[in-house]
Amino acid sequence: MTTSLDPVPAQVEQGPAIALVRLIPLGPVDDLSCQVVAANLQALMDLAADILPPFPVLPDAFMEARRQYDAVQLINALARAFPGPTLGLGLIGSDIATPILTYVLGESQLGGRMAVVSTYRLTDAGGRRKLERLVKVSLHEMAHVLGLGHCWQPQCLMRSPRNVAQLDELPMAFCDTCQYEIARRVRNLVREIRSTPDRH
Amino acid sequence: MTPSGLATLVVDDEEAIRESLAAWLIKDGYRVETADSGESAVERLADHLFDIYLVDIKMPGMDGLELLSRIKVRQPDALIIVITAHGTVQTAVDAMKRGANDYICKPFDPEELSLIMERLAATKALRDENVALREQLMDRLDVSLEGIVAQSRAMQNIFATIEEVAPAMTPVLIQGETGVGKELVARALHQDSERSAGPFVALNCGAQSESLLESELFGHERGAFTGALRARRGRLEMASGGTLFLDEIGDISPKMQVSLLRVLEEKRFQRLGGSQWIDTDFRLVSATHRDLVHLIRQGRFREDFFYRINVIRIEIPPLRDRLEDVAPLADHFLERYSRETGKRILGLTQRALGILTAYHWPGNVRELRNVMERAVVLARGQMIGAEELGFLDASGEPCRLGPMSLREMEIAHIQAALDTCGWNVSRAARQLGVDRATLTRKLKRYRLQRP
Ligand SMILES: [Zn+2]
Ligand SMILES: [Zn+2]
Repeated sequence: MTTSLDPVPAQVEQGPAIALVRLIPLGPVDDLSCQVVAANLQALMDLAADILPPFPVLPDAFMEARRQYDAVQLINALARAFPGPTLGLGLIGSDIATPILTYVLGESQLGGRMAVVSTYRLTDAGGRRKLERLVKVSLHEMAHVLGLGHCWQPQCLMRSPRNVAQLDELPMAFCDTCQYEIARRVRNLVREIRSTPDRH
Repeated sequence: MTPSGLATLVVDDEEAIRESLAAWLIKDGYRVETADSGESAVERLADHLFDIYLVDIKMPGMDGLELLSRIKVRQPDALIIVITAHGTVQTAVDAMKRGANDYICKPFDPEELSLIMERLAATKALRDENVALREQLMDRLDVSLEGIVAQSRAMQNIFATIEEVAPAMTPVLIQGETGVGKELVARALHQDSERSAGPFVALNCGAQSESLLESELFGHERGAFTGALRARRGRLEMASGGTLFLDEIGDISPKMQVSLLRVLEEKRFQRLGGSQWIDTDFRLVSATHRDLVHLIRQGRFREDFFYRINVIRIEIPPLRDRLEDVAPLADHFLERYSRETGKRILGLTQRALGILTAYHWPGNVRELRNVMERAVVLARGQMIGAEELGFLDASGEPCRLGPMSLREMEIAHIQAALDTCGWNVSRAARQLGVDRATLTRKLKRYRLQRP
């Protein structure tokens, strides 16, 4: 996916590639999903990603009454477990929610470091759209982590989809403005990670 | 609908709810503040107001219902959503009765939250638009009522008359020269009447052919005449419930006078080409610059119609008969045009004001307005001086004296300049834009001598 506004890849001007995102499977998540998400983070956002071994899901984050994981607590746990400037994206097969919402497809710290995406509600009958949806939600949440809010351009992944059907209508691309903003913030992130002495 | 920057206050005693709701709103573009109790929300209100409030109903201390009432007192148009727990619908209903815009049960369905917030943002946008429209309208009215900026005794009397007669339904005839602001008085009558919420429909009868005027007034059915492709409502119909202002009523034909007289008496009429009676109920305000009594004597205006429209008469004197109004009007227009052009102009020099008050103003207030507009455009400094009014005939005398030759005008003009300057020839020459030698030569040629 290239647009006219695609900037110079952040890593080219600054030396050898380093991981900017840790992809963390929370419990069992299939390899293919992880690989496709990682590839798209690299291709569309210039975010090189490392796929980590599965990380145990915190039992504390499970809300007994709602039979769902609390996405906010998962994110907080990930932030504690993986300190440093590198970003993190947790992938989970279970249903997730927040204290105010009955469910979410993904959740993220706006301008923070961590996001979590659930595949639970993304599966469709034939299973063909699941990967595409997973990638869309992952890209959307990681853009939030970079500090981007929702976008009101009709053809932009940063539009806030109200449901899965609307998610399917979104293109697998950001609008020019969002794309530019992502590139700018990724460049800053690269600088920050390089200047951190003890990087993982 | 983008929520761009709407100020939102989230009030909830539970930190997890407060924080995740705030985070959700921020991602959507709202400006968000949070408060952990009704009391601290009230404190926040003392400082500044918000566009949207999200208030938890059940809180220790001041609860959501109480807070809701407090917000409504302080800010009646506040947009408020109350947050309830499942199974407390009755409380939500109470909240709606107390003026909440909506309620939502936690945890919220994400689609529902989006929808409610979008609806609120749309409500807010619509309200803002209405407020903007109303302000625009008031601006326009303000601008159009400016003809009534006046200090003179004559105009004060007119204001008093307007106040006195406006509420009644009685027809009013406004008499005055072109440009004195007859329509403004008509609008003022409408504004002060009990029908101010109804339409104010104006029509200039002088500017149209008889047949056009007829269809403008009465409207027509489809096919009533060649070109009447569709039915059309006339002004008589549109003015129902409000005021019909007919300017230049002295220009309408005796035949049209009869038609109008019938409408005034029967309060109903038929569209051209129509057979249906249409009821109408308007207050007629008419205006003319003509001497209707004179027209009656000439047989060009019907006496019965005259008495029908001339129940109350307001006569607006020409500007030259109320020169005290020139300065406030000039200031008013000056302010308006300097605002419009972005030029910082402080006022008129004494001499400029002298020129304005000496002028005859055949075009009345409208002419003064045009003169000020032009002067502002020409202005180079912070004051409007005589130079900026150079296009205006400074002496004013020629108009009073009636037709003059160019030679006579020049003599009168030079005379006026010399008078203003106390017969200092150099100064008078400067004012006239010629050198001293030229003026001296002219003085000789016209045999002008110091009195
Ligand atoms: Zn989002
Ligand atoms: Zn965008």
